[in-house]
Amino acid sequence: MEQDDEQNLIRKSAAGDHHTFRQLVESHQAFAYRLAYRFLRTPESAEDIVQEAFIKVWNNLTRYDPSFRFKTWLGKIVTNLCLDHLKRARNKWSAGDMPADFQEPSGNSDALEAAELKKIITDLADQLTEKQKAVFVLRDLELMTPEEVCSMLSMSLGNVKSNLYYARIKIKQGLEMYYQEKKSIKE
Amino acid sequence: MNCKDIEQDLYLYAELSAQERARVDEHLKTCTSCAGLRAAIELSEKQIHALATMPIEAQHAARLTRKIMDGIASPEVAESHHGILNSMIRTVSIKYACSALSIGLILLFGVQFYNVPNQPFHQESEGATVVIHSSSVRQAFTKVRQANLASIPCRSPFRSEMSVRNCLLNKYK
Repeated sequence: MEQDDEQNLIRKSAAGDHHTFRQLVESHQAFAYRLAYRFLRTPESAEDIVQEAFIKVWNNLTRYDPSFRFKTWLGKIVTNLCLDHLKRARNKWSAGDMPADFQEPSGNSDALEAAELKKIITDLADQLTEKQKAVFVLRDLELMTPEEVCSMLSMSLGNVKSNLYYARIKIKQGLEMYYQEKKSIKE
Repeated sequence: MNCKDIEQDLYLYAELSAQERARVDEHLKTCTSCAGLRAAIELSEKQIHALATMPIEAQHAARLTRKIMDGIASPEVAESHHGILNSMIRTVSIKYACSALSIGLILLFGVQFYNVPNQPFHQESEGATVVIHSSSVRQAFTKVRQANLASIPCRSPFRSEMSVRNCLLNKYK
């Protein structure tokens, strides 16, 4: 969507136009859901966060700063809601609560390997600190620019880089350990 | 440049400027240890990238959109009294007026509270008090008894409520 078109939609939505806001929701919903899912790993929680985020957007559209991209603003809201949710749920998770897509996958070997890789990386990401996880998800999984990450998390570039550095070390070490164990089992 | 200085740059290679990258590349040409570390990092980057490109979509996107739109006030609701009331309350001037009214009421309550004159305490003799109370109780009791006595002939288990009422009305007429 063009920046001008988007600004136009935001202006109309801020004036209370529901139909225009629906267009805005439809064009950014997939991004918001993907981001929430990467943090929370369950479709139900991701959907709840997306709904909450868009309601927040609707209620605060008049405060929207056009100098920021709408996607960045929305991403910031979704990220903050996800981090709050994770804080609340940190001690509640147990093996029984594991989302369905992380149960034993079925299918061909490529699909199995992809599912396995997904599980390992997301498990490793869960072991990161909140800031490290947020930076890792936004930069390495959502492929956002460092500047966008800074803006979304209200962090300095140095802080983002520092968190990213430690996150990547931990993920790399975790992956290496996993593949070493797998190799030793095969031998 | 030594290997320790460059380690962080190896992990943040994608975030480096062109100049910084050239400096790191120069080091990697001569240092096999750092080149090995960079290769290992690249491997994990590839694995992470594979995860990043996996599609993640809501199973029922249309349902989610509907859920979101239901979450915000619908146009019909906005036009209803509730919606109008909400929009009025949101107006800053109304908020100020409500605040002023609340403060005014609080002040009025305070003034009324402190302006209540102190009632002088009338000390009655014990006998007089007993006489007043017993007479009022007797009067009330007499009234009730008279009313009960008057209604007795009208009451019957075989009469309907309506006929009892008519009977009583006729009696008092």
